[in-house]
Amino acid sequence: MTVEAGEVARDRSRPVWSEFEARATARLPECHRLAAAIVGPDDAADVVQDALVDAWRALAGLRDPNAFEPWLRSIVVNRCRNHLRGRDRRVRTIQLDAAASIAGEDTGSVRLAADQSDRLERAFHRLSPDHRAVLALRFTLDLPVRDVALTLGVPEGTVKSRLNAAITRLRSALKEDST
Amino acid sequence: MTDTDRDLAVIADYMRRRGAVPLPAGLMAAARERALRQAPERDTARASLAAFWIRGPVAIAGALGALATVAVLLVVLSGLPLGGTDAPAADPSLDGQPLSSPAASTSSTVVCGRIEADACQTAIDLVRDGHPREVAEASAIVVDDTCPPDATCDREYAFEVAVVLVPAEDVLRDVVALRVFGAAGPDQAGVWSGALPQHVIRLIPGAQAPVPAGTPAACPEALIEGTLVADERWGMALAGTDGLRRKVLWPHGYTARREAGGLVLYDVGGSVVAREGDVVSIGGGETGSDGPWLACGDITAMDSGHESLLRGLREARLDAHVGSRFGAGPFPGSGVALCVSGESLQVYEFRTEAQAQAAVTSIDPDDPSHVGDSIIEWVGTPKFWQGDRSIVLYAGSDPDTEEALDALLGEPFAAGGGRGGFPEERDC
Repeated sequence: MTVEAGEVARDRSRPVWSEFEARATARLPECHRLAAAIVGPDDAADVVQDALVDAWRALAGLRDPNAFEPWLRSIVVNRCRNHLRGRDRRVRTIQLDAAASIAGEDTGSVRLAADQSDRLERAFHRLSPDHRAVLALRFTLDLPVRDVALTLGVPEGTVKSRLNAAITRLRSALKEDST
Repeated sequence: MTDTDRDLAVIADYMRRRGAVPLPAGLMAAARERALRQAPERDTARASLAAFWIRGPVAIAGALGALATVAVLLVVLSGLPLGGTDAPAADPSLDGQPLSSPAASTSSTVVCGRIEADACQTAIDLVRDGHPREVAEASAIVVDDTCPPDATCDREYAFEVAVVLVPAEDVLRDVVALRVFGAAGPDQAGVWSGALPQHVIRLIPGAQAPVPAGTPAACPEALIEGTLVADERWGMALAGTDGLRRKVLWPHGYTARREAGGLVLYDVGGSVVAREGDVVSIGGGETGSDGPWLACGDITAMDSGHESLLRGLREARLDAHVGSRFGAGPFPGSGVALCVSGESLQVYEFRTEAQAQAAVTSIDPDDPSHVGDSIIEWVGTPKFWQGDRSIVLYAGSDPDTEEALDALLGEPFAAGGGRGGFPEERDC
């Protein structure tokens, strides 16, 4: 097999942990920031650890060693998605806060009081994993749209669309906050 | 700086702060310990889906330690024919003929599936290193690629086979299964976790098409979409959007009858459920890695609502897929959530157009918070569209989605009245 020096997957049949560790360690702060932004600080370490194990197991399948960084980021994002979906699995996606008979009911009583000081955080927690991921990749890691698309394996147009939707939601929360 | 720029700066700063968390010490060391403790395994999520038909995985410590741990799969192999259909035709790959090479033991039948003889031999040798007794006593050894025929698998190793040791003639249980893998050929043997793929089991001499052992404790909530097709092996099968044909384990009492227009699927009461060529969505779940689909949830024929809508949204070049089902209250139908460009879209489906129309008229067109005699505070800013037998609710903000809905269903018949904000959409 013809390989280039310094590649992580130099010998695909026998990945070497030390090489993987050296390269993954260099990306560890980034991975942890990414996970913390998506799932929150409490679960970030567990998610990253799972992602590292996943990456090691899948290392031999990495076709392009030069794609290690987006590949590792994508594994972290997938782990974050799984984490969020496992924790927050819900059947319903539109919330019916309350349904009450007109008679004898004050419609205001069924309105949930919003925490004015926490709107941005609350809005973020209502975002889908995909929207969280695109925001984290774009703003937490400061990646260009092209690299975000590469990490997520979607077209740049999809990234822009998701970014727009996610930002719109957060912006809406900001506006509510300011009123 | 405009308000928009200012908002964007605030959001960017917020996201940076979310990631500004100290990196805990020992993270890599902990990962190293876990990673090197065990050999690469198959995806555990897929393995967990297989739990329906694995009665009791029993781990046997092998001589090679963790790398050579053997999962003993107690597999019940039996058929579940769909009534009214012909018996499954013989699978041409079920030859079960003894091969002169590669050799296992003098009495073993070896089936190498799609694997070259040399690689098959090497795989068996690797297994034999750790499990000489099991190999020697096997009445049959089946080796085949883990990737189903006619499928493309993006997997960890270019070479990956299942090696199945059948301990006794005509005893299709207590099967010992291992995984042999490597970058270019058989290099390592490791644990087989999860269910054996259908195509591998079919290679076992005498094996019937497998089904889950017993009724699962709960029906999975997944949905699969596809077209009903006649299949000589399984009677009526499902051709997925990916082109793969999949066996379906239909609910008890379901039958398929061949009629003038093709196969017709009937439920236990004799009512037509769907016909050959219909696009359907089937609730349930996969019964193992690449296994048949356990149809224990709703079976919905095309054009009841969400399927045609989904198709239309995709034709509008939107990223759309089925989310999950939900209770349709306050309406009498059932609901399916679609994920469109990462946002949720609710489709309330009804059995008849009359039911759908009754639901439509119950919604105040100017203030959809008034539904019949109830007041509902929708999260978001809802807009409602009417389909033939469905109502579509979208509370998102993507103009492309709204434009597509307008094009597919016309103008919304009701809008406004929500309490603002955005709906939860974690399923998307």
